Amino acid sequence: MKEKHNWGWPIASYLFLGGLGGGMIVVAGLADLAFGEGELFSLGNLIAGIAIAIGSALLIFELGRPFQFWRVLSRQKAIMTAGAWMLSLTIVTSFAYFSFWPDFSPWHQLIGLRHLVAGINIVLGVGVCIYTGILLGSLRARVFWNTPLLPVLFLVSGISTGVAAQSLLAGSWPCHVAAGELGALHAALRSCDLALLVFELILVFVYVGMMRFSAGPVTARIAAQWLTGPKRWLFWGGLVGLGLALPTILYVLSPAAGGETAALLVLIGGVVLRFLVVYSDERIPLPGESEYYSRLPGPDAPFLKAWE
Amino acid sequence: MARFVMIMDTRRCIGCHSCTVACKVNNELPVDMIYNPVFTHGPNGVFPHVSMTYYPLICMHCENPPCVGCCPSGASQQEADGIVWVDQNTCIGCKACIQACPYRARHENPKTGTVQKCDFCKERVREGLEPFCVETCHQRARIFGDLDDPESEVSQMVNSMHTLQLLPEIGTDPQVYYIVTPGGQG
Amino acid sequence: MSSKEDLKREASAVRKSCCFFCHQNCGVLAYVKDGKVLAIEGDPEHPVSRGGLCTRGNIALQHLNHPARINVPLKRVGARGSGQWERVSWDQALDEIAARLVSLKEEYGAETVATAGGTQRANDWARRRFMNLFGSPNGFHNAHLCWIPTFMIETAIYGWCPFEIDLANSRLIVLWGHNPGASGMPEMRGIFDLKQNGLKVIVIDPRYTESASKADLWLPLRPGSDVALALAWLNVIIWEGLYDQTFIENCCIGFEELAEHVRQYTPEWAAPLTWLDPELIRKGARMYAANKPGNIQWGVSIDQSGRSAGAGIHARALLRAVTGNLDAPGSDLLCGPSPDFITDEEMEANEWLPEEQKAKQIGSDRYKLTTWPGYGRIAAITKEVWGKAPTAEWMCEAHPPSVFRAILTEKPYPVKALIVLATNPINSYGRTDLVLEALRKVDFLVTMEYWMTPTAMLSDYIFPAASPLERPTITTTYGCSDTLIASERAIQPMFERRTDYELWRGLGLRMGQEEMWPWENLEEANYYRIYPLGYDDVGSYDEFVEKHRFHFPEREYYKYGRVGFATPSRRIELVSSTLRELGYPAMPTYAAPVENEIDDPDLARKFPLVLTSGSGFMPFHHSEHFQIKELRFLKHEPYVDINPETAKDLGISMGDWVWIETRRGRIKQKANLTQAVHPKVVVTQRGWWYPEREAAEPELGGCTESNTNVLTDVSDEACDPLGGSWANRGLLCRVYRVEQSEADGR
Repeated sequence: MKEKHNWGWPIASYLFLGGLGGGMIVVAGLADLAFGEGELFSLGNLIAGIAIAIGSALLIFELGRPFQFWRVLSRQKAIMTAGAWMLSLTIVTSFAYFSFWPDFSPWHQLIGLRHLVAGINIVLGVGVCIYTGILLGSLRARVFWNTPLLPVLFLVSGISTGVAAQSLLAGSWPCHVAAGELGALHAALRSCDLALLVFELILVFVYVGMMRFSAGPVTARIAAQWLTGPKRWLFWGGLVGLGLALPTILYVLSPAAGGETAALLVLIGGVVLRFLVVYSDERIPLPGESEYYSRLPGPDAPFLKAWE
Repeated sequence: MARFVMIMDTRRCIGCHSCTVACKVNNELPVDMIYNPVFTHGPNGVFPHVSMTYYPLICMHCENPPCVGCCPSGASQQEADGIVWVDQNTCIGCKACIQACPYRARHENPKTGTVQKCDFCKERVREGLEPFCVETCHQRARIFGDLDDPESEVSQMVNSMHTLQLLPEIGTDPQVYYIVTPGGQG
Repeated sequence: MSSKEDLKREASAVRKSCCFFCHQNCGVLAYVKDGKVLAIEGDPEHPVSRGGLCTRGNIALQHLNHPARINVPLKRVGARGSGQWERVSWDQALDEIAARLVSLKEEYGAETVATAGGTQRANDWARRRFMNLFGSPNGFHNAHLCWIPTFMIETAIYGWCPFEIDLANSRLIVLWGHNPGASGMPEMRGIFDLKQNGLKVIVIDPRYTESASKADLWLPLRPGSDVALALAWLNVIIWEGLYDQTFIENCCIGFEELAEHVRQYTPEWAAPLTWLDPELIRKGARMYAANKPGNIQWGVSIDQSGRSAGAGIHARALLRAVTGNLDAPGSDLLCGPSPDFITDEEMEANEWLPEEQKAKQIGSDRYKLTTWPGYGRIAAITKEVWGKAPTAEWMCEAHPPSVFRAILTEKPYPVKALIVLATNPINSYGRTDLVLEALRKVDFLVTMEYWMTPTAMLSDYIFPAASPLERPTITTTYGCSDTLIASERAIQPMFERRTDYELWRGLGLRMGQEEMWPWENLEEANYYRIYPLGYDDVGSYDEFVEKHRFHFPEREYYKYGRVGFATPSRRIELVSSTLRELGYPAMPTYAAPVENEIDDPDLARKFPLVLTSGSGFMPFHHSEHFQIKELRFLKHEPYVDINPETAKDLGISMGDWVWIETRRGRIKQKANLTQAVHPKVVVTQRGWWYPEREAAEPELGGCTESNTNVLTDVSDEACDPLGGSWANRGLLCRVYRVEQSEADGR
């Protein structure tokens, strides 16, 4: 009996939502600072803040003692502590940055301050994307996560999903730009996402390929599960196909019409990637371990309850 | 300063599981929680040329414990004498430490929501007693003591015999040493 | 988590009790207060266990306080096995039972009452005392499966059983059908300690066990073929000149005859019977003979071989004699009975059983060695030479399968009542369907138990048994050792539990036996027994335990120089006159396993695999402890060992439920594919029943589903002619997956 998954769908979902939110505020911040087009992506900051907040709520839900969650905001040197502080801050700065944009906002005119927050958001957004990969990568017992490629992959995926989400939301309130004027912008975003997708595809194959042909039998086995084993549908169908290759093709072939579909597919791909990774959490087995645990009774064994 | 370690002499271990039961009963663990399983490796080979070794497992109280560094609340901590333990009041049950442990030594308690593990019976040990699992073992297959004390049995054994650690390549420097005869025959 | 140390500090006293769940009887310190046990731990001062406790020792409190324990006397209401009980008082139950026994005695004779026991777990002398005074010769245990035939054959040929191994001075030990690695924890430790000083270990076992994995030499013989191996070893040792000439000249008679007799039993002859290479057989024999002094540790497996048991035991016993490994330093010691304290036999009142009642002992007409004919003869000689006799309750018993058959057929006469104590015969005696039928049919069934076992479920009365911590215990190796270890009660029994002593005495007082039960409780009886040791500072049994705890007389080697061998000729009889007089071969003659492929190829075609069963495994003991969660969690389902090649041919994967079937019936266990066994050998786990299931008919705790005794053979043809041992080992069986059989409509 394998060790059960200590982290499940709430963590996988949080990883997606965190990456998404981080990516979205990076896009918004860059658009503001580098191109002066921040208004187009203003709503995305609110959505990003909500996404990260929901992700954090899922993390709290996953705790054994959710009401004690505040203890994570400590002065420990753990990666998770730094991450928790960063997440908390990012939620605040995302909402804060959003709050500059509606006309009725009291600080709508404080452009310098807004630029400062945008800059902070870019740093925090990259941080939120990449820290989750660093956290997983630091858990060396989980051999499939034990590579510097993982944070890079999560960063690229995060930015990519951020770009996709922002392209879907671009021009929404509180933006005043008419829908028709978005054409050039969307084209730029698509090119950006296209480049990110291609980069991500390469990264995924390098990651899985390295693991498949690595020295470790467990990593090789997990990679084989992704490539040819029970997880192959999720991998080829969900991640590579729907999540990476198909949107790439759509971006190239029919940029105008396929843009929205492609963006949605990118989001799906981001979810699939996180689930694949989180559920590939095996350790190197100890001698005789699997036979021992496979023979232990499950919680429903009648003798456990017979004399209560 | 003391440094507590344990030696598992697999030449003597016969896989009777007494240590597992002594720990569970004396520490009043939930019936489905096992701090210290004993695995059977083998029989390996083809009848009748076979060999078999029993591996008692336990928290390794590593020199570089990955489960301490990753704890966001500070509940998981290591004492100066090497004992790694979890403060049940400050643990929030995030399970990062379970993810960090290569030895499956940590366990979530669904009733308390916290993570538990072997703590080398630290209250007993500080009173000069032995952990329950060591005291109960008829075969004296488990030896416990202070590695920093050159007169101690563990110190003499570690320094005079060939011992091995499990999964050394992960870099945790586990402080449970195994005496294993080559070929697995006791 | 230091609550245990806190509990210990809270205690008002520490009592030196013992575990009691196996024969090692490890010392347990019980921390008590106000009649409750707060905590237990191993006793570091106990000479055998030195502070260790195995899985079973550790759950003493779980056993003591378990919610499923029977705590009050129960009387059946409704049909037998319907699971309906009413609570009665001890007095009422004893009154009614005594009255019933008296009336049965009047109608059918005292011999109509039989008693059944299991392993040594109770004050068996009290049981025998009651039965002798009552007049019935039909007490029995699982003796025939466990050491007793060995004891009697070895006593017949060299005057006592040399079960005291002088391991500290030994160079080699043979574990013959014995696996202390899964059954005798302190013994295993002793072996390890001495291995470090060069002790060599030979393991003779079809299975690669815990002990085999630590051995220097492992002989994986065909189950049930031990007699062939032992005869071949005799052949090698004698015909290669490896015997001890001086010892044989000084102490033995019949050497030439024995030598001629075993000439035919060469390793080449033994090889196809044992499935061992002749060179491997030779190697083992030479190793034993060359590494003197050496020990052969007894193991149950030969006793459980059925028809060939006696011959196998006899041949193995002769190995010690021809090598001189008897009563010398480092060898197997003929300690003899104790001259220093009152033995079990002296408490049994055997002289009170009339001769005509002895003659009625069921099975004694056929199985003479371990019944009054053999026992009487042998005990007379040991009394002459040693001054005392072996314990009759064990060494002189009715033949259990014959008693069960008497219940059903009324031949040789009706057996109308059975008192069952410290055993669950449905799971522990051979041929479960016979036992079940007998227990369902017997007129009157009384049980004393910790638990509602399948046997208890069928009883008319159940008495609640005191736990190990609630009783004093004297350990003396079935009353036959010259050593003694004493343990005291930790607490008085809780609820209405009592010891077996109270049961037998209670019945005896109501049946005119008052004068013979002067001791009110076990402490008084035990004090009477240790009193002759002569300790002035001890005024009670408990004081003896507190101050002294044990009696180990100074070791005396070569006792035979002073005492002689307790045989008719006063020498070791390599050709046994006692056995000859009883009508048995005077020298061990080859007998094949009860079911085997050479003599019965047709049977082997239908049942192509060889079954062995009955060996112990942690954390259980016989049919005990399946309801202790902490133990059951480790092994919650039964597993049968099967070779992976064989499993593959049968389409069986690891963990599949499979049927194991013999001519008697079939059971199911899960397949454990392992290279520990020969491709043709299959090893079932013993004891299994499911206490979590319904405790009434027809379920009866699932007592036939995985119970290996469904498969064993107790027919007279299958039993050993000398002692009546039935066959658990070396039977023929077949194995197939559970679904397959459903599909085939088998």
